[in-house]
Amino acid sequence: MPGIPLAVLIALTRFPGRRALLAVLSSLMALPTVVVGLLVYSLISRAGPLGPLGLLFTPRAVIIGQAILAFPIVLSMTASSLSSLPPLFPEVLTTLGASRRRILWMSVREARGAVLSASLAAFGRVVGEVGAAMMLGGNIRLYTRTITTAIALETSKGEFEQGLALGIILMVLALGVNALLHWVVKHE
Amino acid sequence: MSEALRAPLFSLTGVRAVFDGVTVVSIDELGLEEGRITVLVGENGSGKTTLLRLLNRLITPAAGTIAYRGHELGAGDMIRAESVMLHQTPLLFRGTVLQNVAFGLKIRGVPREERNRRSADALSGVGLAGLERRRVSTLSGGERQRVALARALVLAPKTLFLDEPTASVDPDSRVFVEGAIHGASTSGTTVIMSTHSMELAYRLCDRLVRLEAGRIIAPRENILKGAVEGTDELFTYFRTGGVLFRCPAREGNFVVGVLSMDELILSREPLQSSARNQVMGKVTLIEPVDHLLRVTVDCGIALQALVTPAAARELGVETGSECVVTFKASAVRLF
Repeated sequence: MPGIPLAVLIALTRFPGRRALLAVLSSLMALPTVVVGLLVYSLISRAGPLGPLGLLFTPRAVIIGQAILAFPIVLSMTASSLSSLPPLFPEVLTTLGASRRRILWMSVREARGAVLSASLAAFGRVVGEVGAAMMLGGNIRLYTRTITTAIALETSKGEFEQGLALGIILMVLALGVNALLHWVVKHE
Repeated sequence: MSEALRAPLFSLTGVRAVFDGVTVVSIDELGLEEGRITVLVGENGSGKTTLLRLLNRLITPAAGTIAYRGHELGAGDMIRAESVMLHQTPLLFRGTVLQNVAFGLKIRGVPREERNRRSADALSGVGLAGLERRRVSTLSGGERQRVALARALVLAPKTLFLDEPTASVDPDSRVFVEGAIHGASTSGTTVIMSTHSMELAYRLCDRLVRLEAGRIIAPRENILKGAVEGTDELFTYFRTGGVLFRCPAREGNFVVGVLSMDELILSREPLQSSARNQVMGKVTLIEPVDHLLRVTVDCGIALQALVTPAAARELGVETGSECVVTFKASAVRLF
């Protein structure tokens, strides 16, 4: 979520290093999930700088890892969709008396289809990844076990049917969320 | 009259606008009066849009000052609160016509009921009554421009900037756009617009400002507001002020006669010629304009003629002298 307003700022302002930042962001989209897992792990493990917070192998740790994965996707896709708004867009709003904040909000509203796609892409990445969830959550039953880590576990146990069933549930879930959001945009 | 004494709404002094090292607007002195329609004309790249943007403070001049109501334009100015600009390409927000038209009222905190009522009025003002619920994606180019115009007019701005308001519209829409601009002006809005359409410019303007390569050049035509008095098989008779002109016979609801200053002949005695229009008058002003003299003759209306200094000397033209102005019927263009 914080990716969207930040993306608006990046898209609608001009500052030195802006292009470089966007390039870095889009390459971060391809960041391997296990690398994120490793980085966060090293930060929050008992010996790491954030170790005293006791975050490792908690749902919170999984959330931090997933947020880091989602962030560049939302940021970079939203920024690029906002950049493709007509250059006159902010000017038209200005002459109608809109404040800066109003212009930001209207830009997101105008590009909402693309902003939504960004969120969906991020959702897809997060819901389907194993590496970070496994390393940071530890796949603890009823606590930090996610569908993907469960599938990995069942498969390695040889319980293919169980894994397959979970896989179907995961796919239905992803499809459902996608369909719902598209419906919302269409009927808004 | 008090007109001359009143300070102009906008006064520009030594204004320069520069893009990529190229001076695109260079205006030494210009005043624009409140409550009137000023039309900017000129070729592409002559600086019309840039001048509009300067006045609207969308850009700041590289040099010089622009004063609005006697105060130099600055950030967070009243120009923003008191003006709206209509861009050449109508940019509408996604959603319905009503959402677009009511946008400015909404951000000004106008209650919904009043918003809807004023939006409906603005829409009927541009000939689109009842279109509130339509989605803007289903509108034609002309309709889009009219919605954009309604979105501006609904705010009842003190100053309305229009950049080529009829460039992207069909002939039907043009009539509505012209009518709406005229209506806004009648209710007191100062209109400053640019256009390529000389017809629109002549019909609407209280004042025509001609730009060439970013500079204002002297007007070269008499623009005379009036009305057609009648048409027979030979002529259309156009009355302006107390004077009746003969013009080539043409049907139409013309409101302005345009007479190039080059096409007026000054003489001391009435001429025997094929020219169908001849009026007596008194010279009230002689000014030098680009190696020529612009002579203003009061014949019930003020007519301006360009003559060479040599011709003026030979003719003995001087302020207060009587003279005859002669021009052909075909020199009068009606719009």
